[in-house]
Amino acid sequence: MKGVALWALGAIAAFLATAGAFLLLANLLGNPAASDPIPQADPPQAQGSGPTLLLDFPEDRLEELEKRPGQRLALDVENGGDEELPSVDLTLDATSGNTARPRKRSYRETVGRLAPGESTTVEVEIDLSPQMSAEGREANPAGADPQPREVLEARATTPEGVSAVKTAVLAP
Amino acid sequence: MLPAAVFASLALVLTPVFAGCGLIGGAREGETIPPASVAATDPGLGPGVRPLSFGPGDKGSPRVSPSGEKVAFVLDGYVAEKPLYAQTSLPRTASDFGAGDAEWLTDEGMAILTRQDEAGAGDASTPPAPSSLFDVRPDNSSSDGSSDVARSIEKVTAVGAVPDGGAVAAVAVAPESPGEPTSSRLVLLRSTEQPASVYLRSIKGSVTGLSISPDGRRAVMAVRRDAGDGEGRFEVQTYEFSEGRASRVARLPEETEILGAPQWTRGGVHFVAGEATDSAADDRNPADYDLYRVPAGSGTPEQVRGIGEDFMAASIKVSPGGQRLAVVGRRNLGSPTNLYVLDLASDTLEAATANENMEVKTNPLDLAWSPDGNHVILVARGALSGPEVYDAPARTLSSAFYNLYEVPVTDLPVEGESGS
Repeated sequence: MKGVALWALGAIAAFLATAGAFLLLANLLGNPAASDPIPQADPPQAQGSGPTLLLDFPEDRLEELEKRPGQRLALDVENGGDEELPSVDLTLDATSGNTARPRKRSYRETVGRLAPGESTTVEVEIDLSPQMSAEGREANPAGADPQPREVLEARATTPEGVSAVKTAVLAP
Repeated sequence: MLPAAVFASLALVLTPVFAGCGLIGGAREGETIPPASVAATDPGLGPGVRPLSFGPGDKGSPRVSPSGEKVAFVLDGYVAEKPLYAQTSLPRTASDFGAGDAEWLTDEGMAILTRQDEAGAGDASTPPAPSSLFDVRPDNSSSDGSSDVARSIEKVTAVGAVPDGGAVAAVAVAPESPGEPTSSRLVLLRSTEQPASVYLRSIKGSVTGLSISPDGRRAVMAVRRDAGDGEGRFEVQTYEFSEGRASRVARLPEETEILGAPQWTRGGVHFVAGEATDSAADDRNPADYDLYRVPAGSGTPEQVRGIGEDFMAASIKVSPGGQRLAVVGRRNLGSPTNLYVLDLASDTLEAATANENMEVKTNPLDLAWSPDGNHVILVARGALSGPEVYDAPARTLSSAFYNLYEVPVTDLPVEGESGS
């Protein structure tokens, strides 16, 4: 009798273990976006040997920016690895800090071959003028920050998938 | 021996099963905001402080749900909510809603007050600008935030949260003739499914700030009474729900205004007041207001001495148990704005944050307790004197923008002993 009970409990345990394993697998393979994931920082770049991209905003140029069209922004790109990079795609998104009335202006540039240790500066002409309402005033819904911080997010990517990101936040 | 071994085996087997279902522990690794003890960076408010939101946007009016599982906040004029430690939030209203405050209802619907017109935000010389109160059903977290408003109440001047869910709104009653003084009535909203309850006995004056006592039995109000010459004087009043009547607790001197809502504590009614009106006051430089207390049975406000003579209070909120008071303010004119906790039994002040270079919002709406009384939620951002460059995408940044921070308020060092 005791043997039968043990067999039955063993069978239940084996069933539950299998079910648990499937549930864990389902959780691990599920769509993370469906459950409000914390956004992960970009994958860390390879340390030591291998391709490494370095990206930066020269701060003196950032300080000169004004909230109007025709602003010249510089981006420094450096190949910090020990392999040649055939090309680097640069994306710059200028967005208002207001999420209720998002305004995004995107700019793209491509840098040619970069030898190991080589750096270059890319100039981008950007428009930082505020979004205007139909009445000609700065568009700003009730309750929103009247002077949101401007955000400049730059991303450099190589065809091999090496990437770097920098965000500049401008005081109003 | 055998049953114990069998149960132990079953427990070992069942643990991953329940964990897989999300019944034990948090979400998967990497899905939740890490505790402050393992976070890589200090946001600038001292050890143990944990960001609850990230990315651009002007956030404010944080409110933790009565279950403690969710937090709602106003983001650039619309209402968003999320699980407490999840990163991504969902809008509860359309982006142009113009929300100023949001309170949880018992069914996890929300009562949302539209933002008051800044020009008439309730100083001593002007009556509070009425707003509208909407309630939004709990299943209304659509991706575009387009909301189905369950009902609306007009001419609302103040709202207070009921401790276990629900909201009490003060509604301005139009005088029957031009010479009559203004009055107000209270309306209770418990859930989106229940009809609103109106307390018929009116309150003399306009309610500019309202909170509910921790036991839920009474409303505590800042009321502006007409003085007959176009000016107004502030009073602290209570409204006992069981008796359905208002009582005056204290009357303030002329030209003195109450900031936010008075709070019912075990040590009497506490409120922040000062001379009206410092137009230069803002989040970075709050006005020079003081913390007052009206002890039980007394009609005379007295300055709270336990916080220090030079302390400049900006906003207060009583803890769920009523024994402690969260105070946002500055120890003196030259010190940064911090969160303090006043232990009402011992009259001792404890610093909960160590502000390094953060702009802490000082509006009374921007302060909330967690239901268990272990944390206070505030809103802050890093001060910028020029452009700041970060090594991460904007959506993952906390101190670059106004974001919510969870501050632990248990086992705090007493002010003066810590050397701060």
